Amino acid sequence: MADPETERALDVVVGEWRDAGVMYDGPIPSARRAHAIDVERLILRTTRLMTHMARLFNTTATWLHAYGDTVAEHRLRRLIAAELDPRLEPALGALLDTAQEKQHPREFGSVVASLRPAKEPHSLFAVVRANSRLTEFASARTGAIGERWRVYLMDEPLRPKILRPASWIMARHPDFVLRADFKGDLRASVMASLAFDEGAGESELALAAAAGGSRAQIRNALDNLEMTGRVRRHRSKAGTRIELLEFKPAEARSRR
Amino acid sequence: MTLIGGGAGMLSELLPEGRTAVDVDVMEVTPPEVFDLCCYDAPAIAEECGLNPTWFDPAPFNLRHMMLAGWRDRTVPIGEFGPLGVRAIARIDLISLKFSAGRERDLNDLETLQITAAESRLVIEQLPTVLEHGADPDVVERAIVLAKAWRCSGG
Repeated sequence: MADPETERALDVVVGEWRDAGVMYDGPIPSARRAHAIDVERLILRTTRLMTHMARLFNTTATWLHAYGDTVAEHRLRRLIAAELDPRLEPALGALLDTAQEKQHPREFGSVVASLRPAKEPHSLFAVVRANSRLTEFASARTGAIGERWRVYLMDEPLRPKILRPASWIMARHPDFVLRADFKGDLRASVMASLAFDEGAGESELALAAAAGGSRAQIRNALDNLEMTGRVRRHRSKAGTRIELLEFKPAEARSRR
Repeated sequence: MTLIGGGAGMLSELLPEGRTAVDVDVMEVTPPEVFDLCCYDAPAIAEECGLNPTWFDPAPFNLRHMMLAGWRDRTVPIGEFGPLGVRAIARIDLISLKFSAGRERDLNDLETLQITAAESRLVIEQLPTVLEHGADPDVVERAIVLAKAWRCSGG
């Protein structure tokens, strides 16, 4: 069992996935108000914690396979570089590869390309690492994705039955509709950064740094988002401040 | 209706609440014609209940040959819902199936279950008998290897 602090962190992450439509048992999310979910940071926090809870791996991969269009890929790449321990890159790579297995084109191809496999083979999960015979067992049953990332990982089919339907998820999270419409392009990263990254709206430069695009790309994205009424730019001598107009989260929670 | 898997473990309070992805893995419904009726009607109520159309999973029926002798007599009651009585497989049968499945999440569940030396010994002794019911010898052998490798909380 993990330490109490990790257990609490696991409860929070599981609660967010429950809210995002994974049917972990517990309070029915529809009974309370939804809060905006920082999908990209949730993926990173899951990557850190799934070593203590193997079930998180398959449920998250299943969710990402079904709803990967909602992930803002530029921002995810930027957060990986800024906030993820490089030793966890194999775990995230295996997770995203499992999610996009058999997808054409591969949904997370550009993200996965930025990740590196493990230097030394090891299991992703603490319960296996703690026992040399279980490590042998897992090593012998490692599949193609595990071999690609040099981690001991047993292949397990995705389980769509543990997900809520898209209608339930989109009704609960209207911002996911916009994310999915953008299919993870830079506009999704701009919107997510404005919602969750402190100071991202202070200038185009700050927004570019937070969303993971060049300044020119960000300007293009902002032109489109302003035209469609999602953001507003306030220009002054001091610079350009950007305001998020649509799907401003009521209770945006940003956890690192 | 008899449930297996993580959902059964959670409902029978063997596995902790809050960390089990709820699916309904159904081993058996009696009489059999009601099983057919459940399979037919389950997708119809999915949308209304905010569930995936595949929420009701009858596939575990195919695992019945992996069950240890006497499993039906050991099931535990979960609740009565109108005419429907729901039961879950017993702890020893849950442990046996977890060893047979042997995925990382099953290892997590086995750790949570804090199985004793006597329980793992019983599984090791009893599992070969399922070969008489047509169980896959490779699966049985792998489950026994895993059970032997397991650190038993009872020493």
